[in-house]
Amino acid sequence: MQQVPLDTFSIKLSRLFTAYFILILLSSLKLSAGGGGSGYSRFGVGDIRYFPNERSAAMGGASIALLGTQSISTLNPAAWTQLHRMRFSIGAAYEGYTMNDGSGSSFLSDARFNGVSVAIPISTEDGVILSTGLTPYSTVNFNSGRTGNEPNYTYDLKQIGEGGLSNAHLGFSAAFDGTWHFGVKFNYLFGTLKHITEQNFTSPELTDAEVRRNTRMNGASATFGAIFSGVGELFNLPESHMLTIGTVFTTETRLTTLQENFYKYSVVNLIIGRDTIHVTEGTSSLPLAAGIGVSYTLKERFVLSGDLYYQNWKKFTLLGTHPPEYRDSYRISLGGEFLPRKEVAAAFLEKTAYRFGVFYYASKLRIAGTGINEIGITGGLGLPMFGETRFNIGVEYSIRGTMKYEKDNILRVVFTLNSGELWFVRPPEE
Amino acid sequence: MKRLRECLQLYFFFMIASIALFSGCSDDASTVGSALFPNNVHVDSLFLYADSSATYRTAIAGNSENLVVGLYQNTVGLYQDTTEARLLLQFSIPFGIADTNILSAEVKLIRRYWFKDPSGILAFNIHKIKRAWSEFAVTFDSTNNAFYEPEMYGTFSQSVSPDDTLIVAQLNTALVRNWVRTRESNNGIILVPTEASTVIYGFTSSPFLPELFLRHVVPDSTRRIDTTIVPILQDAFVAYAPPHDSSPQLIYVQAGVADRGILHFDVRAIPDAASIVSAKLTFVRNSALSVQNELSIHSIDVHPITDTTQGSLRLGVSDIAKPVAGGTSSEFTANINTIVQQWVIGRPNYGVALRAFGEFSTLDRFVFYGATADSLNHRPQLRIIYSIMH
Repeated sequence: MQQVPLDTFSIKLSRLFTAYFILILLSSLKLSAGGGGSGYSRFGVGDIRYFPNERSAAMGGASIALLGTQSISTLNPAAWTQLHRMRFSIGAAYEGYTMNDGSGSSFLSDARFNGVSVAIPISTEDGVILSTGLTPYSTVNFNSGRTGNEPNYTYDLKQIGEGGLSNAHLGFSAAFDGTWHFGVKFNYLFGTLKHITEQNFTSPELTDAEVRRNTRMNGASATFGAIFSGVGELFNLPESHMLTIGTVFTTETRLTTLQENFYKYSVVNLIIGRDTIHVTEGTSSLPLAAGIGVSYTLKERFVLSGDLYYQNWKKFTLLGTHPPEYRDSYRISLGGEFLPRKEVAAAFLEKTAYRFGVFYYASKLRIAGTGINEIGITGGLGLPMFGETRFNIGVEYSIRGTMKYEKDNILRVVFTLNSGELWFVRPPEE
Repeated sequence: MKRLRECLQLYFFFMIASIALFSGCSDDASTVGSALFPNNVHVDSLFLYADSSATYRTAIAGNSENLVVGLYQNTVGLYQDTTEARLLLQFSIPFGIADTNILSAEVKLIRRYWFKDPSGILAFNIHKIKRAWSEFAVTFDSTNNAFYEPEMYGTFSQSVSPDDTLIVAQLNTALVRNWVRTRESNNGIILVPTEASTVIYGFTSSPFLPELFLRHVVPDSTRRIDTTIVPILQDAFVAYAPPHDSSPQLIYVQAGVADRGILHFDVRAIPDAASIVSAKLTFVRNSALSVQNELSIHSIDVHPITDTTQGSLRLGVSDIAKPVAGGTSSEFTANINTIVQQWVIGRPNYGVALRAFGEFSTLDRFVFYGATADSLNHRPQLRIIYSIMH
């Protein structure tokens, strides 16, 4: 394969962006325990993070039927079959919440690591790709406070949430007949959910207390995916028009759960006692999930995609108990991408991918009969760097909830570095 | 050039946007969204009377800033009691003094405390201590007749009043000459009160007090008379009072002797993992039987009892109980939330011990009503406010 040499300027610019991204990533690691987020993350296992990959993050989340040569999908393993190089992606995310409940408003923000994935082609002809990765599955991140009043004394009460579940996956894909794409991945969910309650009295003579409830969970599931990319042929569409449909199914996840409460008592910041009380051990159950999608690609430049993703949260249990606030959830995602030119010699802005999307998410929560829904718009860029490397930026703005409890205006910005190499790829035999 | 300009613009845009995004600008925790959180804090209270009380005695050596000596007896009336205190002194005889030239020896004491009455007769005899002793370990029982020689090396008997701040006792110079000749024989002196004594005085103890003044002839050609102030090496007092009436209705807390009180409360009704916000301990003094004056320290140390094995009680770090209205109030209170919290998290509950705050420097006597006092209002009480967080 003949490669066009990069000029000095492009190399320098690419290095600038690489350095910039590393700085962001380090900042996100440092800030991962930052200011806080939405109070809705206190329920169950936290806010479920819907991030199939950096491309679909800017396309409203649409990805189930989306084949691609660069992005590694963490939602549908069948989408890996077109990865003809070893791909590596790593990302960071920023989230800013402006919250309002009619009594006032508050702004909390946080930055965190957003996952790493690797895909290694085993057989590019047959679309056999091996992929592994570590991505966040859910996030518990809230910071709320109020004042308690009792006869003769007052106290400040803080509720702080940290932690979440992560997903380590390992899977592979295969393609048949060039139009059927299948994939399976095994998911290992693990992590600790931390809920901290602090009671601090204004009088220095009274005992302050802190209880830290740690819920440790781990369990496994499997995801099966399929994409049929020959729909265009069925409708006799020209070759430049590709129509695909896809589906994905994730099994129920049974999580081994251990919940412990740690108590700390202090007077004038001097710790006077600690205690640990084991609350319970048992199992929790994350429900199955399923989705269908369709995508349309024109001349490999313009893509439209749409998904419907459903999860059976009515079956969710936490230590054997189904919380009453849970209902089934579904998400409708629509998005598009425009890539003017793919040639290496093309101009920088012509090689940039432009993405947009919208989504509607009827979340898993229904509190006292009021469903918590989210609607948002997305946009982003896939900036070419050197070789097969792209620096992707996705911005999402959404509104969630109700003023009755909490209305969130959420700004999410995701930075992902996606790179590709010819490692492990054997050239076709002549 | 145009491309460079465009790219630099893009670069700086991202940098500025990142600085804005990652500047860490978050509000503090607020009440927004608090309706999403359950009221998982429950505050409750518990009122307890002491289920048992007692008095116990522990032998101590008074080696603090006061040195007490004297005898007080009350053999008439409803409340008869006796308290005796003995004073031990050991001076460091300097070199350069010739034993044959000692003209006089005086022990000078600066008064700063008295027990019971300030006016009366202070009388004591001075004896030579026969063996080595430690100011940290000597007890009243160890100062028996085998501890000191029966021969008296000085006496003191004087009517005293609050105006008498300086007490001077003459010491037989033969004793001092013996210390000069044979330094190993210097185990100090003990001041033992006589039956004539009607008061107990406390004297200042510091690195420079008490003092032994020696007038002696300087062994040179001038033969002039000089005065040498001999510094104190170690000092202590030991005290005794007969065991008190073992009535369970009363608790005796006396410094110097020393008597201590024990109170026990059954806190098992407090749920596990409760945070003890406040635990107010209240006990009431019997003023008729208590002996304090304007020089007394009106505070009681309240210690958790941490161990009862090995024949003695081990005590933890204390809280301080003070009179409610200050000074002579009969009701003492202390917030012992740290002590009760230890019981709630699983430490053994052996109760609390009451100690006089001036236990090593006074003879103040506090008598409190016990767990079986006739009046409920007099019984020791514990009011606990606790918080449960789910």
